[in-house]
Amino acid sequence: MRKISLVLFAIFFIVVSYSNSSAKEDSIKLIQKAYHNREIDYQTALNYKVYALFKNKKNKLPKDYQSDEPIKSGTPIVFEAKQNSHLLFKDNEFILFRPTDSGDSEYYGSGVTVWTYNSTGGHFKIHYTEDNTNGDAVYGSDGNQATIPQYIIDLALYLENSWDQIITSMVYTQPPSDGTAGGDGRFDVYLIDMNAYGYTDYDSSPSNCYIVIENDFSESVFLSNLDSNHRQGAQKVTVAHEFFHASQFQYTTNITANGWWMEATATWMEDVIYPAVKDYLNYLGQKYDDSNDNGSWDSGETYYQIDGVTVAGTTGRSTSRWFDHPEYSLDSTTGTHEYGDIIWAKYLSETYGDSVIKSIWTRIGGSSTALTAISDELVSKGTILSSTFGSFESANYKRTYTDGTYYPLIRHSATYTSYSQTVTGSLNHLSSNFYAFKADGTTSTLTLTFTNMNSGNLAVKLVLTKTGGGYDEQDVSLNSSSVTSQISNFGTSSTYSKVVAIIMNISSSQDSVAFSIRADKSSSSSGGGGGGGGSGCFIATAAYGSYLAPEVQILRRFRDRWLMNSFKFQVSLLGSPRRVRLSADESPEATSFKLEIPNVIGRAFVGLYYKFSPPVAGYIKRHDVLRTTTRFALTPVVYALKYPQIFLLVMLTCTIMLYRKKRFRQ
Amino acid sequence: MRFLISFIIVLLLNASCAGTANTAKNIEDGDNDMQISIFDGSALKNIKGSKHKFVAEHNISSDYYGVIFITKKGFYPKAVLFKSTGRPVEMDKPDLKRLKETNVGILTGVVYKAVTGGKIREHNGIITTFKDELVTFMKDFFPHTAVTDENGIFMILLDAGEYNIVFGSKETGKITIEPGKTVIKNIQKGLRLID
Repeated sequence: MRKISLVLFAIFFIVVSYSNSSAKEDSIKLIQKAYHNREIDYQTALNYKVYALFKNKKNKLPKDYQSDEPIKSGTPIVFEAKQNSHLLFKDNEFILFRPTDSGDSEYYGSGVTVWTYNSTGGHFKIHYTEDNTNGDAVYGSDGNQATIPQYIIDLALYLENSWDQIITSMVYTQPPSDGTAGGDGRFDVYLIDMNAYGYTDYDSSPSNCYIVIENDFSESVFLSNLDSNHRQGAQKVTVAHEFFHASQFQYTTNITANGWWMEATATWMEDVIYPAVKDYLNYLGQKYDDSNDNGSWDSGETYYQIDGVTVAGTTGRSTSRWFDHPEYSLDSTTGTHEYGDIIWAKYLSETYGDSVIKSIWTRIGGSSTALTAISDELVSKGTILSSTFGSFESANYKRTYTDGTYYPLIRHSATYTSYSQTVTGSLNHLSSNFYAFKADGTTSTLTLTFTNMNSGNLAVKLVLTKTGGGYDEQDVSLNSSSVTSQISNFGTSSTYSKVVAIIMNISSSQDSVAFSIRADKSSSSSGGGGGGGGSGCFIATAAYGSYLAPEVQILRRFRDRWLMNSFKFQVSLLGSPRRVRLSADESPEATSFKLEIPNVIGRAFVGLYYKFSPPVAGYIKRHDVLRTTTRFALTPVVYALKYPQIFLLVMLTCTIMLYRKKRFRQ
Repeated sequence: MRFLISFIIVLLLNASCAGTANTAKNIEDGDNDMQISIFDGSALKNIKGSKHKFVAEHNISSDYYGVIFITKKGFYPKAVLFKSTGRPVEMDKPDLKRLKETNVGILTGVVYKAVTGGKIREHNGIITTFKDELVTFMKDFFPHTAVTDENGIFMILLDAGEYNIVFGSKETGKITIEPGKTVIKNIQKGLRLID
């Protein structure tokens, strides 16, 4: 009995040991051992190791070499296979190529035949299939390799055109040859069924990049463009877009800092090479009728397809596009914002020429980030980013672009028709809010007060809508903690029917910068009396050319402070009370009270001035000689008001001198 | 005398227990010093969490990957590669192993290929990581090499100092190692721009 137990125990021990020893070795070790023992030759060992590496080939490995132990590192096997490629079995040759080159791949699927077509210009190799097993057959496939689908021929033409424009004409850096990747040194383009227009990719180095493009653009989402053949339009813009990415990779691969600019300018390049397609309009937002003039689209208001003419509907307009979100930072990648940033690239190129985009890319290639490169390029052009950003937002409001008739109204944060209003908020870097202040039938003065906005991170531009059409603009100088801007002739039957305040954060990095605006409207003075802040100084405005001229502002301040204002006193009672006109807060027990005496003479003068001066001002405005003469006459008045102490000193000196002269004569 | 000796022993025991309690309290405080970051292929963002778990909000598209790094001064870090489902990632704060060596810091990171873009559907995250990649850190012309694991993540102990990073035969930047601290340096190899 004891012997039987010992034998059983020994058998058990041997079986367990054998299992454990096998299980501890991975397939590679088992194969290597068999090769060293001369059980298999080198070629067999090499190919067995490749089988062992890929799960979908493991069943080709003899059972003696199969193991559950994971392989520590597959890289040496791949290197060894590539170095001994002539020894590989046919079904292991896939390891030498990019996955999409072989029929046995994750992209086209097992057993799918992939053909190639070389573009006539010699720069591109297009990889495609006409086997629709997995849905990847290109548009117009007939299954005959001898007949090239028109889709492929068109694509090749668009690719060569993009090369000619981007590399030859505009001299952007070309992607270098990828050696034999894809079969030869041509730039490789693969056509696959995707849920995207296409993509540009590199694995190990930007010099090895390639493009993958949608195989048929059959889904309606691709066909929203203005090309007469929408499918070709989609091909054109995708080719231009993706190939420009391939060039961009030669400048930078830093998507964190530059991703937004890469997409903005790739979308811009679509429009440069194929301006008739205008696929980019899909990322700016659909044009709409702002029937209630509140500065944004409301359900029920008509909106249009990207041609700006064909009605799309009155409900369901997307509000996620670029012009719907001026509060997004310029470099935001929320949603499709970076594609809509084409508008920034268009503003720069329409202002400075297409070469400005190339110059910025050259700076990025020198290791600048996109924002720094843009900023430096603008400095080289004699301006700065903050100023350019302000002009850019003004252009967005007025839509003063070549394609501006297609663009929607930029979304306003609010529109006001009643006053006073206080508006507060905060902005992230390089973003804006638009606020509209609308006039009514009466002529008045709109006063905007900007409080604590003098950190240097904010800027304000006022766009004044003229009742007769067109705009005036005014930059507000935020140089103190409280800055006031007054817009006179504010009325639908006066000069300006609306004022849009564009509040901007012009910093490249500061977020959540607070702003505060107060809007007041006061009625204009006509006849005698009335409050301050009435219409402009007509004669002075005519003489100096603008109601915003510094001299006119000095005269206006004098009018508001001295002529229209009341004289206020604080009276202290000493002994018996005095009979004077008392203010409302008087009480019998008060020992002091406030006294306010209206400037009757000043107000009467202003009333007469506004009654009789407009026709005089109109006459002066039409005659340059009169304007010069009026300016000459007003100059001492203006300087007396501007420097009252010096003026009084001069007057006193002149008086003394005259008196002494008179005495001398006597 | 015996009483005195006993009393002293009791006092010493009490002091040692008190010391232990204080250490435990420091560990709890140390948990609050645990730094958790999430890398989405574009940026490394810090995450706040409660004492025992955290919820990482992210914008990584479904089916793409991100990496969560858990670091704490004086401890080995942990890096977790996860596949996004489009929802925030919830994790319990892991226990970290204490770093015994002095005057060394730790460098960790992932070698990745990023994906971004998409006009029709947003694609954002890490599309793949690279295993068995060599990353070299040069200091005073002496190389220190790390190899990525099956998740594309590497970790290496380095003496304090400044190092040049060499990847793919190119210098890709500099890092400074401080004693006891972990530096996260992710290395991009490959990029896919959708649309």
